[in-house]
Amino acid sequence: MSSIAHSAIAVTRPNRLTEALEMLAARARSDAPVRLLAGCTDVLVEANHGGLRYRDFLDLSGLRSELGGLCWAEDGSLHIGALCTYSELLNDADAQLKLPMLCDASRLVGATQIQARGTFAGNVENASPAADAAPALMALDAAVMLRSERGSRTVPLDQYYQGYRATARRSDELITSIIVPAQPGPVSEQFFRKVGTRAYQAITKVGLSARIRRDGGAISEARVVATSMAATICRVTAVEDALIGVQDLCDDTRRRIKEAQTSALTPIDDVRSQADYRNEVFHRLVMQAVAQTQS
Amino acid sequence: MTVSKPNTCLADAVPKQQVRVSINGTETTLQVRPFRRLLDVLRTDLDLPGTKEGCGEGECGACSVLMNGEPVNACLVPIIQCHDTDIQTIEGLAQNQVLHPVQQAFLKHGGAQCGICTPGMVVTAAWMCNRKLDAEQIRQRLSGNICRCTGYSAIVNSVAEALGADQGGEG
Repeated sequence: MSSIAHSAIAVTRPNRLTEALEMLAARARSDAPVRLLAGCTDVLVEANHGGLRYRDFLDLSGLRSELGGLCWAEDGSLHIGALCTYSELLNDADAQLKLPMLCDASRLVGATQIQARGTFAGNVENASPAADAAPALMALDAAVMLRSERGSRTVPLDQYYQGYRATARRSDELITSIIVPAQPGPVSEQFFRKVGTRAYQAITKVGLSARIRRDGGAISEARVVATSMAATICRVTAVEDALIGVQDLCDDTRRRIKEAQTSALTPIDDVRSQADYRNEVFHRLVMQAVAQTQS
Repeated sequence: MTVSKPNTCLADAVPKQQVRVSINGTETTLQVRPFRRLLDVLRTDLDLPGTKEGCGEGECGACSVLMNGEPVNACLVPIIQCHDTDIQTIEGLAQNQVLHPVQQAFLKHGGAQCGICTPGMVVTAAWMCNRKLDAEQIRQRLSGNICRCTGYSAIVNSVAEALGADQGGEG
């Protein structure tokens, strides 16, 4: 089935982060970027179907001691290492309690076998507009930690995507971790819903990751992140703004929120779904999120 | 990410690399091209053809093996990532000619028909052993293993028996 000549593919597998950064820097200088390998659940699919555009890889699997696992910091933030898999998160009892929307998203990435291999950092960097974990992370105000030989920097995830499949990562940089800040509100604020053809092993036709806070009865803060509605995963600030102050979903409010959505998002017809369907379902998901997060 | 130019200095001969891996409990050192799939190394180099290829894109689960105890799709694992890992294939489940409880349960309940998905199903089910799961949880964990013959009931019943769980569901 595979059409690539394995004899022509080079893979470097460093055992230390500094070696990996050194190699990335050297390649960036000579304008010969390498492709990074973590869980391989995207790259190997490309390879098996002959679509591989790279012949030169940097495998991160030897860096587990430096980039693996997840840890909760004293301030309540979660640090997800670059090699942390979905199943590692799903095995963490605190994650289930504090970040149910991220667990929901993780449970819906492919199925068991993909969850055992796929990484959050890989999902973020792969930059699919139909990603599962990245939108949940974005709604949770997560940030991407990048490191190179030049130093470290942090980019908020809602500023990470710069266009279709384009990220803020420079070619000498590596994601070292993703940081999810402590969530100030109750978990009932969190909402994740993916609409696909079936429950598992599905690619999102349209999805919503949201966090909706209320003060008294009225919405005081909202994060609304759209999946498969634009060239990238994105926050829909027009809808977020339209939600502020909303108490009940009367017809007028619904119309106003729908208008905000249509002004901000122009989904496309493609092999998986149609623009009209996506617009309608996304609107309904927003309504569902508002209703469901009502105290 | 930008598209790299084809690296022309990499003629056709990337050297083979050494990969130390435990396969069904036996330590092995392989000399292999690093990007070859675990699936191909198992089937071709190691004469372990029990692991099947279905879709080649991580959807069907026919190539499931256990990597450090967790089910993975062997079609999506470059062999270099197996360095210092423990791989268990369908061939390693039976011990001293005695079938694994999951294999016995598949026999009893008719959990196999054409057989292509069966090794992957059995491997994933073996990973579930020693857990208390109901039929719905079994189905969720088997959702990465696709069968085109059985309609799943016989498979879920097989797994449920192996786990000592209630056998639920008509399918």
